[in-house]
Amino acid sequence: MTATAGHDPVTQLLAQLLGASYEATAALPDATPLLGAGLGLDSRTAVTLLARIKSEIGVDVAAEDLFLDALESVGALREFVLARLAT
Amino acid sequence: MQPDSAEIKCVVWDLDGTVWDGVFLERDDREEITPRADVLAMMERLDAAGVVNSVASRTASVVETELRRLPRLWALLVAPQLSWGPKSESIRAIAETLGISTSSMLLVDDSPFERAEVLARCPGVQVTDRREALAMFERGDRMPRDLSPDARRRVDRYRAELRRQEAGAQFSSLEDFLWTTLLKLTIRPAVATDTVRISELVRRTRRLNSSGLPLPVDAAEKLVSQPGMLVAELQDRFGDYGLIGLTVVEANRDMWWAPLIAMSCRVQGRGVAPALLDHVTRVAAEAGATSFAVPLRPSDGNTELRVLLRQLGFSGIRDGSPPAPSGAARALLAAEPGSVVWLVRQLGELPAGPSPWVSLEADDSWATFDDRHVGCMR
Repeated sequence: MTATAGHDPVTQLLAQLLGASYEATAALPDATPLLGAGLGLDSRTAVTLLARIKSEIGVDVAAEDLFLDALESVGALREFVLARLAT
Repeated sequence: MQPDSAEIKCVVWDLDGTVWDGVFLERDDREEITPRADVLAMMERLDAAGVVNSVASRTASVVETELRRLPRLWALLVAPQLSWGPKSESIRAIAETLGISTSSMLLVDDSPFERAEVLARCPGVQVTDRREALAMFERGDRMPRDLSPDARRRVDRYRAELRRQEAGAQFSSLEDFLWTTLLKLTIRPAVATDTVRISELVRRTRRLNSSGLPLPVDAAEKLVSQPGMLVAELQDRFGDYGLIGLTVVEANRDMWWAPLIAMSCRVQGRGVAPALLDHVTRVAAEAGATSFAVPLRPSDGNTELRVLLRQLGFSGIRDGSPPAPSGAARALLAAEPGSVVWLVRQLGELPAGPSPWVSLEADDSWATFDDRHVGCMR
């Protein structure tokens, strides 16, 4: 992925999958659920999101978070990936 | 061809010089075109064995009109490709339409050029000419080994799938479209004749498979004799999908669990897997259970099942010990117990079902247990 300077990579990927702008996606409250009532990602799209986070950011959420708590909300996912990147 | 090649799911026939002798567009106007009897007979045998027949011919698209006048041949063909473009593109178009990989396809073509072009550009595809193909099929080489009644109906299902794709293209929202498809999910206890299909489904599924381990036919047989072994069949207005899902449900007092879940990816994107899982948790809730657990072996392949369970409100069991499996669950979870994680859904007030467009017909008689103990624990 060509990360834009100053842009958070998870938000950028999410924006691409949602077909929304980076700014609109970044403005979502952290507590916005990714699945169901919230962004309403279906299971297939959520799997695609995780696969792209793995290949483009290098964090394997599905392997490191067996219960997928990171899918709880936009903020949880961002936090999980950024924490892994920082270590 | 490699003698150890994989099972063939689709045979793609060339027309001129293969299905019939000569070149269709170059024949005398009054001359009738007749498919070769040996090819037609072989196509029918393949069809009966669950192998799809298709056609890729570099010719004018008007030939389709002529093909339709040959009802015996036309009825056997799925997704025929008639165009002047490279044959490799036709092969890829067929693979995409059927949702299969080119490595499970065989091109039968009299032209060494076409065979070489396809071989060079379609990974894993096999190529041969008519004589060799007929001899190979006669020997039964690379014919499907799993001949459950369900596998035999595979060709009909591909045809139904094409009608679905055509209809789906008219709707902008997937959900709007799904309401029009009249999906009907039947959930019932398994019977003896389901055994082979149950074993096959567990072996062939990956994305929506909680165990990741094979279920030999004799193990499936044992499960079938227990009341909580459930199977799911799906129909819609386009046709019958057959037996596409299964789960084993067990209970002990307040907690019920499903030690095995397997759903075919053929029904992907229709809300069927959530409908099945949601239904069994509701049955548990009605019977007085307070929670429903799913033990699974996480793998690269089954992330989607984990996502789906999360979507339904399942979360990981971290505090306290997971339930002690018994009955069928014990046998299913005995192998590699360390790799199993448990997810649980609390059965308080349940939200509305996840897939309102799926109409359910469920035989829940299995869920009436003495003392709320599932029969398989006896």
